[in-house]
Amino acid sequence: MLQAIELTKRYEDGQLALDALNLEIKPGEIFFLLGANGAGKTTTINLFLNFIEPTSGKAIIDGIDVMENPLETKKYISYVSENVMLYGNFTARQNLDFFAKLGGKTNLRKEDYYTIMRKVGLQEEAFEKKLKTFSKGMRQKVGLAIAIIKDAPNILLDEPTSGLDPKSAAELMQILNNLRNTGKSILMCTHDILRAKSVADRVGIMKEGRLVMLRSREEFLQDDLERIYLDYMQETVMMP
Amino acid sequence: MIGLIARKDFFLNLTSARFILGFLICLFIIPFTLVVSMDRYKGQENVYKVLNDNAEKLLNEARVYSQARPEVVRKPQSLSVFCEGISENLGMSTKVYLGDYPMFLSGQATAKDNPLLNAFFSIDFTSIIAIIMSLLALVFSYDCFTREKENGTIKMILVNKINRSSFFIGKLLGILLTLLPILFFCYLLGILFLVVSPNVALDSNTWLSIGLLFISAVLYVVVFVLLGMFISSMSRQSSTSIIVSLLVWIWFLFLMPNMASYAAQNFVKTDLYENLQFAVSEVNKRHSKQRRDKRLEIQKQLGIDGPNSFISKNDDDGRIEFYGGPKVTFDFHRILTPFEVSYLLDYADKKWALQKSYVDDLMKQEKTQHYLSLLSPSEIFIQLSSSLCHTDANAHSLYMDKLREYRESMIQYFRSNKYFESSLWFTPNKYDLLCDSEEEYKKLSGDWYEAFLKGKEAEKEFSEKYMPKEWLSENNAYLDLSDFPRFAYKPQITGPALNYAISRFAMLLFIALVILMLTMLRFSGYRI
Repeated sequence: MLQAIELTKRYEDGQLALDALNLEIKPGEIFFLLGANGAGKTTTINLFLNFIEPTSGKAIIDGIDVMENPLETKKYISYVSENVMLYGNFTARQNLDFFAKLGGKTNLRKEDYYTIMRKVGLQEEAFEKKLKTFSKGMRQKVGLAIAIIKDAPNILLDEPTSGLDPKSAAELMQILNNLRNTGKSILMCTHDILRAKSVADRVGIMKEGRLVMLRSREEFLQDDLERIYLDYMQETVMMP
Repeated sequence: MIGLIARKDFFLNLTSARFILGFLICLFIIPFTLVVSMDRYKGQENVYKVLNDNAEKLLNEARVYSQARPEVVRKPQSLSVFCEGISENLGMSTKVYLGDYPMFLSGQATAKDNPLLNAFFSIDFTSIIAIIMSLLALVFSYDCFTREKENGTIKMILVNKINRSSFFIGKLLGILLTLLPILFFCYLLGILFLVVSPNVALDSNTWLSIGLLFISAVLYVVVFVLLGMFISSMSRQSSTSIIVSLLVWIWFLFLMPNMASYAAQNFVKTDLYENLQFAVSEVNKRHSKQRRDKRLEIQKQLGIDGPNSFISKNDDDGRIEFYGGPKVTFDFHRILTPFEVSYLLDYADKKWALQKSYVDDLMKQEKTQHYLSLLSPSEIFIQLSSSLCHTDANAHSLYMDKLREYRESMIQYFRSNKYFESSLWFTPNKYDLLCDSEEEYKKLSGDWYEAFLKGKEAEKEFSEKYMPKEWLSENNAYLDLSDFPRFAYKPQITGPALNYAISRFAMLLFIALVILMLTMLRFSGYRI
């Protein structure tokens, strides 16, 4: 479970990136955080991952305060970034092997890696190919395989569909759906409203560091999410 | 975790184009440099053998002790194959005089001495290691954080149970694991070249030096790897990092040492060598006058116009050798020699006071350059290497000190055996063989001259009939100089040389630790 309690981040230059965020993502839930660039989505993820320190408030992962015990919380979290380049001179399996071992999975066999790669939809012939020959979609699948193989109860995804073709994006959503069904808490930051509508259990819209809107699946399906989102974005554009 | 990161980086580096390129560069340049250095060393060895044999032959052909002036030839250092230092700037030999302290080595320093050839630049193994390994260290480290950031992998790594310092250490080890085999390979090649060379005898001290050379090279590589990592931790992009790294490399390797040399020459002024020569020549003039006055005084005392002899050789350093003549010439030299030696030694001290001040100024200049160069890790490494190879200015200075001590031991040898008071100082002829009076000698030499004018046969007949055969130098035996002190000095890594090496080693270590701390501090707040 992921919890943000009054989570605030003000950078050294004075910019308020996140303003008293309160959020709770339960096991078996996919939460989509929408917002324009600079709205505070990535800052939220970075605070959960302890890549930056909060100015105030708490980020809690499975009941453990990230600030108090950062290394312990890392056991319970996986992450997929926007641009998963990974190591080009490693094969897909070697990349998976390296990150799996980092995640504490030291007894996996080649077949275990192949199973995960099949699960994320990577073609069989790509398993032992160097990653530098992969398309962005294929690399993103390997990134997701890395997140899955760690088998952490919480998964954070930072704009994973950006730059992906519609087919790859749809496949990714299917995988997220499956992960949700295994009880994972999933926080995904994105601009992609279509994908949010397809799999999200809840959606939040961020603007200037504040969570300005929170809707459950039933609510946003009724309310026309695109219109609500665009309204918020227009307000942003019109601001002096 | 550290091992995992290190292994990953090691493997990725091994399969990278920069590793293959770096290894190939080393594979071609290092053996080439070693061949050139070994060839140069062999040439020096040949020059040394020729000069040393000639010097020994010349010493053993002395018939009087005043001619026993050894020429000392410096044996080339086998480790100069690794680091040439200043050895090629200096000569290899010097004659040990009574009237002068040894100041510099002079003469030929290499077998290749065609002044018209300017094509071959002088560069040695250590310089090549300093250039290539520092470049490779920066090439492997300049993007160690920026690349992980650009590829998004740093976040994917740090999302696991690994802290930043472990990640940092893992990266450092990964780069070192890649570079150290290359460095080891280079030194192994160097050692192989030494081991298979018939000219080189490797004793325990040489092995110790080689071991320390390798350790200092490892430390040098660590410094540059840390420097690259520091630059990477300060940069947001690899493109910025590589430009800064290259500028830093050029600064440390080329600009800094040259600026240090330039600054040292400008901050610490030395007198012109011509001025020293002039001052020394003034002392020599005073010496000549005192000597001439003494000679005139003794001539007056003995009632002679000058020391007559059948054969006579003498020079300003008190080297006198005469054969045949009146007994009064014998008496003249017997009275003169103790004074002459005393004047020589006295004026040598006076000249040395001037020369020492000049040499001290040169050393001061050299030390200033060294201290200014300490801002560059590559210069510290080169200084450390040349110190371990006994080819630096300190080794030369120590060698010259030993030479001056040797001169003292030579003087002591003459003194303790009372050769300054002995007739063997100036002639092997016995007193009885000489003419009783000057008139007798003048008549004999006049008759000989007439016979000489008549031709070879007449001269030979006259000589055999009227002149003792010992009046000719070749009819006198050489001196037995088996107990004459010989110069024997082998530089060791002990005492001041060891202290110097340790101080430079400590400086490299200090720089490495400072950069390590700064980089860790910087990386702890690195925005990923």
